[in-house]
Amino acid sequence: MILKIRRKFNRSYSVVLDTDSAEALQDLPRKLRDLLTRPDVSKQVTARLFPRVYKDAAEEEEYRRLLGDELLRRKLDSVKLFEDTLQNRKAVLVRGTDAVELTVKPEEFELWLGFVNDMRLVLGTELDIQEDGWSENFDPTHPRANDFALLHYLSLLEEELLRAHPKLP
Amino acid sequence: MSQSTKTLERPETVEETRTEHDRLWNVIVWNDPINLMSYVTFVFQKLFGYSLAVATKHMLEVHGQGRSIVATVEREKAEYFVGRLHGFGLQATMEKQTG
Repeated sequence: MILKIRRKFNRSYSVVLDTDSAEALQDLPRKLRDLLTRPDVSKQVTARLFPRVYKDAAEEEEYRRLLGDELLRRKLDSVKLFEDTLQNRKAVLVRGTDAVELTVKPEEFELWLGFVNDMRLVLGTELDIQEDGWSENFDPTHPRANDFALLHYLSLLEEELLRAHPKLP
Repeated sequence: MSQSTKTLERPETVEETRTEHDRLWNVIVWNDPINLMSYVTFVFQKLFGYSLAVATKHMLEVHGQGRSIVATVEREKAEYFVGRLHGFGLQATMEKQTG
């Protein structure tokens, strides 16, 4: 597996992945967009991506009326950004192996990271992960082992992104 | 009603309104098994400007105790923080500070 993220001199992020991994990510923007725009598809996922703010129902409703669209818009922006980044991938060779390079501009970093994390939340909710330590107890015979593997991969991607980000003051 | 009584009543009304308006709200982040500890720490640093040590302390509180009060601010600011935390995918709520 190839996964290498570094910050370049122009401060943009170079994300190098093997072609299989890039292929596995290809379908994720469509999936998240569907879930965001059709909240009836999965109530659990919608509740996880748009958690309650207030205990009081009237206050919650008012908050959603005023600010709910903003959160949805931000999440849809992250989907579009991730999709565009994948479309603009560049073929590269890493130690003689075909790979792809994605470029994330510094001002896009948070939104891009947000997409990766939202997809982790979607998968984690669908897989009904309730406790820490799920990654250590990976069962390759599980009927949804592929989704567990994808979630694990997105965790690695997220960790590498955070590692590449300059230290915050 | 005499003029002097009116003068006394007015400041009381203003004071009550101000107290309600200025009441502080706790922004609370809740534990969940999916978000990575490093990610939660990053979000706290980014959003609240906390040092790594303070951000880590809050993250460990979330992880170990199930929740952490990450900010105590006026209502509008609390709504802003909760909205941003939801944007980052963290479970956050707000409640009036008691006492």
